Amino acid sequence: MELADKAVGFLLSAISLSIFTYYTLWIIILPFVESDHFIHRYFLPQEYAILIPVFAGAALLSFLSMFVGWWSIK
Amino acid sequence: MGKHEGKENKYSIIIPTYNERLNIAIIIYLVFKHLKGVDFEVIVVDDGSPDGTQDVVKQLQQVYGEDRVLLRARPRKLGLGTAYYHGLKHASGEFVVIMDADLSHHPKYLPSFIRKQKETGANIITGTRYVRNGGVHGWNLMRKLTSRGANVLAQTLLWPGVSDLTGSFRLYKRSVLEDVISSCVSKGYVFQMEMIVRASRKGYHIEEVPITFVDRVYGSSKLGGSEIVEYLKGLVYLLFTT
Repeated sequence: MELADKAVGFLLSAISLSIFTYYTLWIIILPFVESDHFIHRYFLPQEYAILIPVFAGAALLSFLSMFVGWWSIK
Repeated sequence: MGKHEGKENKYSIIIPTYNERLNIAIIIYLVFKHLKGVDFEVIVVDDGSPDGTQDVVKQLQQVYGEDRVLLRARPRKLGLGTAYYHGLKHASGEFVVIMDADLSHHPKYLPSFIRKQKETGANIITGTRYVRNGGVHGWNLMRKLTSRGANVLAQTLLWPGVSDLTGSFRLYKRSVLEDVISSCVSKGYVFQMEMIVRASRKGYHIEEVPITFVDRVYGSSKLGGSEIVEYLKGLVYLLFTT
């Protein structure tokens, strides 16, 4: 049972690290690479680098407010 | 810090109880087993348990002596913080240990608490689940994640200087506990957090000992949304008042 938990933990860490690496490459490295380099095909257009976190943050805030609101009233 | 006529330190162990008829004898047996050669007393603060906990304690007093096992009961459930305060009033030791009666805190760690305090001269020794040799047993993944997440959040907001904020297995110097407990107002486990954060803010020397917390075997303590919201409210309160 603990082994399964460790595996899940490891998976979560791996996913977080991947997302972090992808995002860092996207917004810090890519602007300095020529626009016809092949690497650009693996990344979405630049606007999404801002839009996705903003939407995720907004969704998180909404969820938190609803959670706190729901359980405060209950 | 000098010795008075070569007298060893006395430790008062405060155990608040409510319906712990099954566990109290085991816990007191384990305390006596692991603290051989140590001058101590156990103070049971029972909140009028309907299951006969106090009768069991009275029998234990016959076995171990009324000077070693003290029963300081209260008429009904009056809260954990006031239970500690009540026990503290009757404590005669220079050091006070607080621990749970439901066997989630194992008395086998008491000697390491005492040793660490002697080595470092700290004001407070707190058991922690979140360092190398510490941990929990009997929690599922969600519970562990919630606990970790809660601790990380508290660390980020409060910078308390300890790794385990909600733990309640601690050794205090008597004067320190008296000082800290009088300035705390919260209830439940936010009270535990408030105690350690206030102690940290007041500059007391706090050391940690890794412990393994064992979830109760009979009946799981559920963590619902209301508890989470209470915890968040407590965090915000501490953020603005400490």
